[in-house]
Amino acid sequence: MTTISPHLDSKPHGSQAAGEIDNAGDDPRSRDELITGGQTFTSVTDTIAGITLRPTPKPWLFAFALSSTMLAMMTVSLLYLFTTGVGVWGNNNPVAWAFDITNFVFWVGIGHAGTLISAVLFLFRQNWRTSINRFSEAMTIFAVCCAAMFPGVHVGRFWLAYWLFPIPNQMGMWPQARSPLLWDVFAVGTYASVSLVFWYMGMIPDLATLRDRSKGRFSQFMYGLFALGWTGSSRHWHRYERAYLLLAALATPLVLSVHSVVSFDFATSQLPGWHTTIFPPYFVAGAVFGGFAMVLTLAIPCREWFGLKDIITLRHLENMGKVMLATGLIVGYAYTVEFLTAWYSGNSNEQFLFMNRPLGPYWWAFASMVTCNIIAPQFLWFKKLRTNIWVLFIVAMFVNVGMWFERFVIIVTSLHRDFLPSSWGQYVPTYADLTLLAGSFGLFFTLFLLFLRFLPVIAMAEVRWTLPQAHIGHSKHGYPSAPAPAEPAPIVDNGAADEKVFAVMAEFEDVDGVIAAANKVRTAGYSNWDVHSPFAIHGIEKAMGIRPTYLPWITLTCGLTGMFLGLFGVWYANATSFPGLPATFTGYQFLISGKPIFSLPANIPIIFECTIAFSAFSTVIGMLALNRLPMHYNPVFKSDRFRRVTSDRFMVVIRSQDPRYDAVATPRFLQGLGARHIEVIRD
Amino acid sequence: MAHHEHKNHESVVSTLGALRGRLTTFFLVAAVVGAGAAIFEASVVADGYRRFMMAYVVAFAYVLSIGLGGLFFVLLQHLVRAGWSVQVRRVPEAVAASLPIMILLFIPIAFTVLNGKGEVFPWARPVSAAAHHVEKPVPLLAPEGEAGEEHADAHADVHADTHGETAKVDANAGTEEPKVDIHAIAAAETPEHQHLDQLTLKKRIWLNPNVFIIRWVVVFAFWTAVGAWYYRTSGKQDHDGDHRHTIHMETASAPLMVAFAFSISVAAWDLLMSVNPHWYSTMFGVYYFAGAVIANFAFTILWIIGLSSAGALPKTVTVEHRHDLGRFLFGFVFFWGYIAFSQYMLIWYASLPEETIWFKMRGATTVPGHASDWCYVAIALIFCHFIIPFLGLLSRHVKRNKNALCFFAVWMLVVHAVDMIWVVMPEMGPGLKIGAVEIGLIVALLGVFCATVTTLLARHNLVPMQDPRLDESLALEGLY
Repeated sequence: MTTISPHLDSKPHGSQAAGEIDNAGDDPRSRDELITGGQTFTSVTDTIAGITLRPTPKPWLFAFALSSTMLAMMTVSLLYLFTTGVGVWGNNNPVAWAFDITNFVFWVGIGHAGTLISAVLFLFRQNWRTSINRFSEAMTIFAVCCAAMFPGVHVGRFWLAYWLFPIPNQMGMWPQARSPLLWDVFAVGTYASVSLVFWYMGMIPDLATLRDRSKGRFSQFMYGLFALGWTGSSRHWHRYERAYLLLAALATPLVLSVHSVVSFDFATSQLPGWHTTIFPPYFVAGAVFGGFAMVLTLAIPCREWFGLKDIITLRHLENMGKVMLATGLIVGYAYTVEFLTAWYSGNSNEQFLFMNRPLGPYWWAFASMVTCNIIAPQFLWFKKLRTNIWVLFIVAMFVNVGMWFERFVIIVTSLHRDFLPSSWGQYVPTYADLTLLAGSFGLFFTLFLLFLRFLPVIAMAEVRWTLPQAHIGHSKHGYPSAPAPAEPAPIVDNGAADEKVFAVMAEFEDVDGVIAAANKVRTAGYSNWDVHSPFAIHGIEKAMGIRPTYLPWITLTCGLTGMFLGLFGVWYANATSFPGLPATFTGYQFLISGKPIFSLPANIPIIFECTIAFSAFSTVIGMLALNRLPMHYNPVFKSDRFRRVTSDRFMVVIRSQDPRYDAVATPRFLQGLGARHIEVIRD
Repeated sequence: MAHHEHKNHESVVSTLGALRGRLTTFFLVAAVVGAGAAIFEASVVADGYRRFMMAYVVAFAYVLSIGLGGLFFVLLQHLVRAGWSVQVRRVPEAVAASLPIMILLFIPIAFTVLNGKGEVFPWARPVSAAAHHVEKPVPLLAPEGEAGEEHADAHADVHADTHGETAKVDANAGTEEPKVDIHAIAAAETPEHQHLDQLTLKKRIWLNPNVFIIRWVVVFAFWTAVGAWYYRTSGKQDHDGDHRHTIHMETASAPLMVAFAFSISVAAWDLLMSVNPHWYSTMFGVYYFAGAVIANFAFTILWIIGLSSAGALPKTVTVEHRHDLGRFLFGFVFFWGYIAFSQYMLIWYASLPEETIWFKMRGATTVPGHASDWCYVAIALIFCHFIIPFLGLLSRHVKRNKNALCFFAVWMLVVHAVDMIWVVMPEMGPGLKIGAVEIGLIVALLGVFCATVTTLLARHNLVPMQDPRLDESLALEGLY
């Protein structure tokens, strides 16, 4: 996260119409404030943590009952499928892929907006992403769960789905690394796990907030367990921020690769309508397009029901509308180029296919696709419509539908007319197809509702950081510090006298105050000390003298290791043969579409995914290890006041082990820095 | 709350001043030298006239890509309301506004399209050149009836089956398979011997000289109007300080960006893809776009560093701005790699002969008997256009170091030129054609273009001093 200057997102909102604060202003002279309603660190924390910590609301129970009923329907449908066979679907020859793969691509695509928001917008310093990244990431993970189910059950004997993984089986067979379907396993697998880690890592500071605010023993224990002993230490924040940046930089090519690899499933074939080189970027744009539609579908009701209108503001919604329009236009460009090229190619099969889509038996699917994906988003050109919640919501719904139809059109219309007219066929979905599609929404919403109930819905730490008062120099830009205390802060010592002093802690209320204090502590020569804050204060490294972490080197080393392991793995699995070894330990040499046994272009996707997976995991593990986390016991937790450090307070903590520490002088010194409260912690 | 009055920033007043004359002279001298070298070599090598015309298309596409990249940058910055880039925007603005000079430089291309010879664009010959006997399958790449028996075999093999079902040339060539010397066929494809084949005739509505000229009149009108409008409007703001100029430029940028996407695709198809009228790839417009954006960022970085070093730019343009430009360069190096790999991999994997032939002519093949000198270029592109700059620009220290960033900017401009050569020149045959003709023409056109950029840059302050978002650019500080 970086900023240009603390005071830029700060113009207070102008008008308030129909219950919506309009902060989507176009005046280039100053940017509207991002978070409205004069929020403070405290109010942001209260609002967001409150959603999770209050008793279960009735409407939630109702929604949960509804979604779990749909989930039950999916379970029944799956049982029917497992006990009877894939024949219960409408799939046939030539339409061997139908609803299953359509749903798979649809759900994988939905996931893309989450990573786009948390990674790509992060790299582009789009601070508005902080209000929506958390639940977009959650959406990503749940969507990938729904997606992964479809190819898993489409294999027929789903109990043999482990054949997809690089495990040698009793027949000496290895998965085929030159097949795009295996690339999918690696791409979606890496994507799911890296997204999960990204999501979890982003949540650690917020879980700590919930740990420090929840009242029940069980919830304290659970949040505490997963918060890993987070204390908001600036030294931790420094590595955390670096890890976040590295993950964002890794997730960006990863998200490009996932839908590109999905598109390779189709585009590597020779089938007209599938084999076209623009598929990779076109699929990625379409995925982001559909993903943002789903984010809007979820965000609009959530902000309404949970009272989040000051945090997910009109500007956030408008920006999402703009992204949807932009990606929708990229999709429109791809449609146009595809049609034009089909004509330009002079290939009569291509031409037939592209005329068959609008004019053939599936014309209605094509018409739905064009209406929903091309026509509907055009309304978003107009600011009046774009900032109208209802218009946005309806357009998003259209896009959700349209993106499903797009995949249906690509898959089914390309297949149902084979090269030989004698092999033409037709696909009609059965009840098993329809219930599984509807049921996957049940799975998605059930998981999402659980997330809404038990986890921090919005990235509190990041939203706090987007407030203008979170930046160094805020007091010069209209966000004054709290007035200095009239008399020196009291020095409290609650510990038993026989315990050794662990540290002395000074509390501050604002960033400029704690930065000034940090500068003085550093210049006074202390070395074993820390500043704890509810968000990463940018620039505190300078005030505290924190040296840059070497975490990037860990990432690079592990990334290269992953790359070579991936390369070795595909070579070993498909191209080796050691005489004398049992078949289990030799490569499975199998000729596939005339490709050489070891063939680099076809192996690059897997090597790439291995590189990303190793780098991403090592980044998170490295960050935790360098921060000595998890550390569930920490004497600072004994202080009740310290709990506010994960909400709205700043603490300077000087350890008694510091060579300059003095039982009398050090608390006095902290008093002189303008602290509100001094506390001695014993252990 | 923080309301800050907009002030006239004295600190950013800066002009090109005396540099203008020196730069213009330098660029024009370079242009003359380059053109001289190209004409000299073209007059001594075999088939020099055709090679000169093809190299001219390369140079034109190359310089145009820089201009279009600049236009893209200007549109993009307004589209996303960027603040950081305000101080570095004048260079791309001048680059975009220099696009009209390309109309002048287009004259030789119009000539080669309209002269009915089809030196560069085989489709540009009149329909009367069409082969009328259609009972036999019409070979795509070779003159009919003139080839020997060995060639006749080859034709049967490379004959692009327009139904895409059977022919499969890219399989591992076994020993018994006939060797297909496509380069010999391509070399035989001199304009005098070549007929307009059936497949090209099918595309006559698109690939015909008059429609080509109409398309280019339209795209040039569009680029000229947009480039000039942004240049003028931004310049006007320096004098009147009216923030509404910014609103207008932002509002217009969205629809213009859509039109831009189609216009650059037309450029890519017409200039580069139609050199081989049979071949097609839906990705091709994006491929050219990726190169154009790289070229523009490299070009802008060089200007910014050059102007800073010469003391022309104010000190407020700092390492942070260069770092951001470097990040974009890095990002688009990756994007190019992604697009180039995807395009290659999909064509290689599906192995349809009418598509693979394009890569085969360019040496991107490992099939025995098909290697040519272009193989070296194809492999060099993988390393020099992607892997080396990717690894090189990965580190923030490189992006923040003036000399290192400068090095990679020059590097990218050079490899982008090689890329353009690689896309066009193999149509002339297997021999490597990177010589004084190609390099000289690139230098010549680039020189003319840069001289235009210099002239336009000199007319405005080097920093948009009244831009309402200037404060953000001045306050830019990087925290990672």
